[in-house]
Amino acid sequence: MTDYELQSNQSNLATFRKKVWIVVSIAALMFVFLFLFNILFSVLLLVLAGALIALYFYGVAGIFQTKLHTPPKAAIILSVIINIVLLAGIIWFVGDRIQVQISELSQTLPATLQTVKDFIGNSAIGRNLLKEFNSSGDSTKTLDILNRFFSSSFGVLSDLYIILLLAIFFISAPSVYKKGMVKLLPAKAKEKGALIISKISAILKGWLKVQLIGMVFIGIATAIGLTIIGIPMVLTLALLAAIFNFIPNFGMLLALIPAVLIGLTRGMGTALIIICVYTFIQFLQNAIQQPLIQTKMINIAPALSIISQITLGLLVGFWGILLATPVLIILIVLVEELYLNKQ
Amino acid sequence: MTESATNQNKEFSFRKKVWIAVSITALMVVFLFLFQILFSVLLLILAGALIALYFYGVAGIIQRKFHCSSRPAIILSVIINLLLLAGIVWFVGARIQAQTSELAQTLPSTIEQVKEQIASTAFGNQLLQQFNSSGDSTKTLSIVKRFFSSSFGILSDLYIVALIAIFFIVSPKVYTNGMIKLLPVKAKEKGADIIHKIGDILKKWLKAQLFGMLFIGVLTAIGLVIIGIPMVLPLSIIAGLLNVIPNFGPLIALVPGVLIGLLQGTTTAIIIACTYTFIQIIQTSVSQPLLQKKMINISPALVIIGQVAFGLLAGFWGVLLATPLIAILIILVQELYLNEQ
Repeated sequence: MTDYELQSNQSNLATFRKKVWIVVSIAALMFVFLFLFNILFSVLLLVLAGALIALYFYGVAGIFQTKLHTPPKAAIILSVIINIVLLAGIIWFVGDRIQVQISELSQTLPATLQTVKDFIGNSAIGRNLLKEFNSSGDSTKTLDILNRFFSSSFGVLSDLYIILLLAIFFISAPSVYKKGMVKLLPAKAKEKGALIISKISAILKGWLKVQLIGMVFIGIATAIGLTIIGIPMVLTLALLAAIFNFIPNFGMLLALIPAVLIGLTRGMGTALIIICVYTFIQFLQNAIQQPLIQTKMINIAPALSIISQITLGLLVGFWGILLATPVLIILIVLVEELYLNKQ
Repeated sequence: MTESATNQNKEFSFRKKVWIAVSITALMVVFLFLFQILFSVLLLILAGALIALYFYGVAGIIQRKFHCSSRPAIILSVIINLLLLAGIVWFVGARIQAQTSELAQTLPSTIEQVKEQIASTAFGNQLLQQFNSSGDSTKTLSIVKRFFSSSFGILSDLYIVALIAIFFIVSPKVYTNGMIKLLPVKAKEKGADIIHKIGDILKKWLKAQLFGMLFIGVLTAIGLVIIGIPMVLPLSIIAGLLNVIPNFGPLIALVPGVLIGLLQGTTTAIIIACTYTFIQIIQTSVSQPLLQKKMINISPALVIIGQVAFGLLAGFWGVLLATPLIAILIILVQELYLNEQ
C-alpha cells in the first residue's frame, strides 16, 4: 500500500465519520424537537393566548395612533390604562348586581334542577333517559370525557397567571420576541419569515376585532331578547352569552344551559322560547360576522374551525377548543405562504 | 484552495440532503400519529359529508324535475326534508312513544318468560348456565360496549356531525376546492376527478341505502300485520333504520321482534324470525343488483371485514360507516394503483 493510498483511505474514513455525525445529529435534533413539541404543545397555546391579549392592546393602541396621532409608546400606555379603567368601571357598576344574581342563581339552581328532573320524569322516555343518565357507568364516562375536554394544562388559575404575565411581557417589548424569532431563521429565510410573522399578526388582529364585535353584539342582543321575554338575571345571562361566544360552535350551547334552566322554572314554553331566541341571535350574528370576516381577508371555512376544535380539544383539552381558530389561522397562513405560493 | 471549497460545498449539499430526509420522516411520523388519534374525528367528518350529500342528492332531483337553479333547489331540499321529519314526528311520534313505553314495560317479563321456556329443556338449561356464568358475559358486554362506543358520547357526536353537515351544505365548493388546492400541481386534475367520483359513488350508495331502508320498513310492516303482532309501527321503523348497518343491523332489529313474538308463544317467534330472514333475502336480491349496477362492486365479505376492522379502530361510527369507507378506499386503489399499471 502506497503512502498516498493510505492517506486517501484515512480521509475517506474521516469524511464517512463526519457524514454519520451529521446524519445522527440532525436526526437527534429533529427527534428532540418533536418530543418537546409533543410535550409543550399546551405551553405553546398559553403563549398564543398571551400573544392574542397583547395583540388586542396593540390593536386598541393602533386606533389611538390613527385617530389622535399620538406616538406609539404613548398610545400603548393609553390603551392599557383605558382598558383597565373600562374593566374597573364594569366591575364597579355591574359587578355588584352580577354577584347578587350569581349567588341567587346558585341558590335556586338545585331547586331548578329538581323541577326539571320532575318535568322530564313525567314522560316514559324521559324517565328512561334520566335512569340512563343516573346510572353511574355512563355518567362517569361522560364526566371523564368532559374532564379531559375541559382540563387545562396546569389548572385554570395558574394558567391564567401565566397568560397574564406573558401578555404583559409581550406588550412591554413586542419587537424583542419578533426579532428573536426572525434571527433564528437561516439567512435566506429571514425576509420571508418577517413577512409571515407580520401577516399572521395582522390577520389575528382582524380576527380578534371581528370576535369582539360579535361578543358585544351577542351580549346586547341577548340582553334585549331576555328583557322582552321578561326573565330574571338578564345581566348575568347576557354577560355569559357574550363571553362564551368567544368559543365558536360550542359556546352558544354552554351559554344556553343556565338560561334554559332558569326558563324551565317558568314552564316548558318559556324554555322553548329562550332556545329559539338564542338560536335566532346566533343566526343573526353569523349572518353579520361572516361577511365581516371575509372583508378582513381571512376566509376560514366554518367546518374547518369545528374540525380543528375537536382535534385540538382531543389533543390538549380546553385551551385547544378555545384557541382552535387562531391556531387554524396560523396554519392556513403558513400553508399559503410556504406551499401554495410556491406552486 | 478550490478543492477545499468544493469539499465544503459537497458537505453543505450533503447536510441539506440529510435535512430533507429527516424532515420528511418527521412530517410522516407526525402525520401518522395524528391520523391514529384523529381517526374517529375523520369518521365524524365523513358522516357530516354523507348527510350533506343526501341533501344535495334531493336537491339534484328537484333541479331536474322543476328546472330551478341550484341555490333554491338546495334550500327547497332542506325545507322539504325538515317538513317530512316534522310530519313523521307529528303523526307517528305520539303512537310510537306509547308503543315503546309499552315495549319497555313488557320487556323484562318477556325476557323472564323466555328464560323459563328455555330452561324447561335440559339443553337449554345448560345454555342458560353458560350464558349466566359471569366471565363470558362481562367479556362479551365489554366487547359490545367498545364496538358501540362513540368518540365523545352520542349526543355531542350528533351535535358535531349536524354542525359539520350544515357547514358542508351551506358551501360545499369551499371544501372540495380547498382540498384540490392543497394537492401538487401535477395531481390537481386527477385529484378533482377522484373527489368527484367519490362524491358520485357515495351519493349512489346513499340512494340504494335509502331504498333498502324504505323497502325493509314497508315489508316488515306488511309481514307483521299479516302475522298479527302488536307494535307493528315501532318494530318496522326499527328494522328500517337498523338496516343502515349492514350484516349486524338486521340481527339487532330481530331481537325486539322475536321477544314480542315470544309473548304469544315459541311458534310466533319462529315465524317472525323466518319473516325477517325472508325479507332480508328479498332485499338482498332486489337492492343488491340495484347497488351493483349503480356503483363499484363491493363484495359482501369485504364489507363485514371492514366493519370488524373499523369497529375495532373507531367503535360505533366505524361499524356504521364501514361501507362508504371501503368504497372510498376502493376508488383510491383503483385510480391511483390499478389504473397506473
